[in-house]
Amino acid sequence: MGEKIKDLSSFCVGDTVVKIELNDGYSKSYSKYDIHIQSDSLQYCLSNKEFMNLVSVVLTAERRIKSMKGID
Amino acid sequence: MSNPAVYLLDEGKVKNKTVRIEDNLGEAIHIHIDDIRLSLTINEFLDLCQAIKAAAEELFRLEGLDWNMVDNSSLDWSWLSNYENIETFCVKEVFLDDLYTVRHLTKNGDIKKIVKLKDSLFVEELSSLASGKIDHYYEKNLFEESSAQRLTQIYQLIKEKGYPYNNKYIMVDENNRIFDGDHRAAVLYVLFGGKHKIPVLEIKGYGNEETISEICKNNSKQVVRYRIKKVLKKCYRIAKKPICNLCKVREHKQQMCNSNFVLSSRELFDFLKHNDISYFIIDNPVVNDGKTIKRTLVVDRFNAVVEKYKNYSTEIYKDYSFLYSTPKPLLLETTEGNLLIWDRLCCKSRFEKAILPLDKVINSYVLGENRDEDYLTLKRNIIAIYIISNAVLEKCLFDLSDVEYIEGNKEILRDSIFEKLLAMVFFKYTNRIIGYLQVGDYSKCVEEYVKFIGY
Repeated sequence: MGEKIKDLSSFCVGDTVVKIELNDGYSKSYSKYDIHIQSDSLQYCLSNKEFMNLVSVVLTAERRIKSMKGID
Repeated sequence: MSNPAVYLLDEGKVKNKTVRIEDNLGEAIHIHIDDIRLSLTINEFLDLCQAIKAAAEELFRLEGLDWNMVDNSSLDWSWLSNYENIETFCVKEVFLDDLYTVRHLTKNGDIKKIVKLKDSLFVEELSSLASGKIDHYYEKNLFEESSAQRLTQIYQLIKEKGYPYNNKYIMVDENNRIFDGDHRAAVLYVLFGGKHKIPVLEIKGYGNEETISEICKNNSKQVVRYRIKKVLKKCYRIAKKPICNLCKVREHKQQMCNSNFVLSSRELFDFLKHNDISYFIIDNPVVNDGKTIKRTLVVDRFNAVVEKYKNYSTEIYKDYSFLYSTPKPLLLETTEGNLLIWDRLCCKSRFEKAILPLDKVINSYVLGENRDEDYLTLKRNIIAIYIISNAVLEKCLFDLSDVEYIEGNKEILRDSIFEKLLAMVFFKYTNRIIGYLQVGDYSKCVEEYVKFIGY
């Protein structure tokens, strides 16, 4: 596992804090960075490119739910 | 049992696994990552979005890119995964004639043709060549917004506010291929013509070393292969047609003979009685799939009824999927009007052409597994739930007969078993429904369902 660089952000699910953490890529030839989306008990590990695929889905979903619910 | 109102917010592939984000109305936001599911409230999901955006912004900053130059309200982020290849964003001026876009040749958009902006579907639709093809165009739109409506809105927006609006530019690569902003580009083309110059956001160094003519050449090969395949499929269908038509004519003639036959209700109920088949009747007329149903019936030995009456049944819910192994119902024309027969109480999915059963617990009360002493109240509860489900999920309105039933049985709305059962369909929206129905605000009951955020 690559070394932790810093926390990027966090959010809560119920009482659980979930952090989005920036790490050095485990294998630099595969990815420059690794992103860990993790709580105390679970971790979802992505390369920075894979994380951006997730970002793409989340941003579209956010746009559509805000439009549907009339949220600015 | 699944929520009958599941709206797909988006889906994509991450690490070759499908990620789906769904709004299960009244219940929760579900994020599915392969076989794992995360359940969030709406506020938790919006917080997650903020956190994800903050992380993406920082990753951009580490590459020397400015996240705020990108249109965050875009619905197309397909370029994002290659962000590392981007050297910089820069604003440049370009003639509209020099822009390229894509036209989808298939419904799901997997075969695309690269075309000049003037040949785009959107320009075609906005100009006098409007062909209506946009009605079948595959693209991600906002909730209940068609592609035609989206295009019209953008046209109005640009006419009123100009371009760029809110400092958001059309995004292109170094070949002037549009990555984001096809609609805006088409509107500008129609309003000002191809010789008009506009500022665009160019993604420099995206990593595409091919020139536009090489890209178009490779794309043409793909398009030709697709078209050949399409022609071959059509030839096969034409060759197959005469035999299939013959079978269909025979089957249709048989059905016409049978379906013209109007069944006597008495005969049907006698059949059920003599064969010891239990049933639950909902006498309140409902409209399903555009057809007025005088009576809905749930029977416990459905196969026996199908065996007897399948050749007299008219088609309903054509092209619908039936979920959770729900068999197709029988629709019989009787001397007392149309009768719909199910093996369990069902409702239409709110956002797709699918039928699914009401919750198992509700159905357990229908045919007697779970009846208590006050059967009459229970029966009226179930009928009310069926009426409300139909109104909110299928018809999106309460018609006169629905209102009459609820107004005539208003005490049900205070019944705790009714509330508990209704919550299996509408989850946290249940109390709102009951509140609106109590004061007779039927239209709000339907309108507010989609906008509700209290979960």
